[in-house]
Amino acid sequence: MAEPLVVFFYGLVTSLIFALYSVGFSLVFGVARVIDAAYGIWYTTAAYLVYALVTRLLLPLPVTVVVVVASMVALGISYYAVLVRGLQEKVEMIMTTFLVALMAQYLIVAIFTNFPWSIPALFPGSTQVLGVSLFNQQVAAAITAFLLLLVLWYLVYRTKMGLAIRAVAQDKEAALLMGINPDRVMAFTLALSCSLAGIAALLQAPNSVISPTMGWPMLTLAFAVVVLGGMGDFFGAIIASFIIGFSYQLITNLVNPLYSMAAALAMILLVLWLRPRGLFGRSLE
Amino acid sequence: MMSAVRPSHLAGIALLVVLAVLPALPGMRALLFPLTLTNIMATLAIAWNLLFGYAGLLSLGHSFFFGAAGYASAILSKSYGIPVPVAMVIGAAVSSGIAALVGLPSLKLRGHYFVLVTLVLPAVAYQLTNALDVLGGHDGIFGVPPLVRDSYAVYLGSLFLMLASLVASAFVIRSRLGVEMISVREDEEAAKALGVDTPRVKLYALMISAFLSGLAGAYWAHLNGVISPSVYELEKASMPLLMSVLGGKGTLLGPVIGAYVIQTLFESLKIEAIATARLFVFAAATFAIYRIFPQGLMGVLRRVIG
Repeated sequence: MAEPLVVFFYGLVTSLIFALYSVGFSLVFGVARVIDAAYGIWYTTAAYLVYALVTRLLLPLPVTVVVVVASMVALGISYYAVLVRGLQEKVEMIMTTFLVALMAQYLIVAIFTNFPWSIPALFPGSTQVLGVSLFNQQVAAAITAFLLLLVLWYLVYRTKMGLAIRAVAQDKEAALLMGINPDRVMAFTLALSCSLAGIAALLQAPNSVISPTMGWPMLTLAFAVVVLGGMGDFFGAIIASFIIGFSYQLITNLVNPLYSMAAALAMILLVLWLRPRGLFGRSLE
Repeated sequence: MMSAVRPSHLAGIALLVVLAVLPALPGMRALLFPLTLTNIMATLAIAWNLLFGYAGLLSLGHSFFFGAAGYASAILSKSYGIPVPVAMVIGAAVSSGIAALVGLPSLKLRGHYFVLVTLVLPAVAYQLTNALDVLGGHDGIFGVPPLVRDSYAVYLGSLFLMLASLVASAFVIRSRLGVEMISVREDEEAAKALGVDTPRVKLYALMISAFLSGLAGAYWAHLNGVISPSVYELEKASMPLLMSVLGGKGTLLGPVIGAYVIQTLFESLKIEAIATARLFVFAAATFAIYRIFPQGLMGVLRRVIG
């Protein structure tokens, strides 16, 4: 199992998906200054949505993708408008978003029960790459995540909306004076982050089982990524995702998958202790 | 603290006597186990509230301190033959020690780093206890010796535990540390400027809270005779939060009232149709109360009486 090429490839897939997922968490923190404790539950929600659409309603793949992304965008915008917008203080934010996560999780339990349902692969079969057999779902996930990260980079650094996002992240009042509507930018960021969580679920959840608690480990990893890369730092988050993603796969393959979270926590505490501004020292905090 | 005997004190003592005697009455024995459980959860809620309600430190993973002490106490008493009460105290001290280790790096920073770390703790503990055979793996530890054989005595013990934590909290809050904790909650920067060693205050608050949670967890392990990784699931972590917010955070009796209300509803809502949705109902109710009446039931009570 511990064949270097296999570990390398799965490390790559994991890192790309972590990057896609964590950038959403990091952006929300950087732009709206909100620590979204419900960010794990958006991943879970999207996974159950995929499950309902694919196995219960038997919708074809393109329709599923469109419906999932559209619902996550709508969710993000309403989440911002109804709740996040009115939150002022940090601890209050985490408490409120955590309670939202609890409600959403127990609602999922009430609808789908705790049974570990499984989602079939959206891209079934496997391919031989350099003598290693890889699941098509994973190959598709890696390629999609890579392309989306490029799109995301373009969006943040090469478009007018991206300029507005970075302006609000730097200084909300100054951005307002430059004619940017911070409210719209923040709503956009929340919608973006929720849809990123949804896409990560679309890529990761098929071909495996889903559970109502599946989002918490993802939130842990996103937290590790932003602590390592610096809160609100786009490139920091991507580099940190690769460090965490490869360590995760190494530990999973060489030691025991059950130690991967402990390693992430150890990394979080170590970085908080030694370099609280993140490895690259560009954290907003 | 007891400078004068006030009507509220008398009412409190009367309520305690009723609570102590009620399950001993004929036909009421079915209440023993649920009420013991309620007292344990109330203790956990008191510990959580000491940290959040007074020092302003939000913990989303108090089940970790609860469970870690439960595990430690179970192993010490079962495998090493240490008497149960001693094992419980050592177990609570273990929780307190781990709390210090976790708190040292994260409490120097702003509040939200600490919150996220506490959110991660039970998830990590869940995986580790599943992985380590020393801790019983997925099945957990069976045959944990009970504190005493008689279930009524166990119940009285739990009542005493809850009362002792309440008194300990009251003592902490009225001490110098308590004043410093409240100053940290109200304005950390201002507290720092006035010479309060805020990281130290936060660390002490966390250690005391972890110790009390640990006592509750150890009591729980010896009550059930078994402890498994499921203790680290989100339900246990969210309960003290729901109870304290419902009852009234930052008040002494709030967590106890919340615990009794939630556990009573929990036991009476065991009908199949509602059973799956009751956790959702509690979370939604707490969310509504948190947003609409931040003072909880205690605040509502005060407004009605005052």
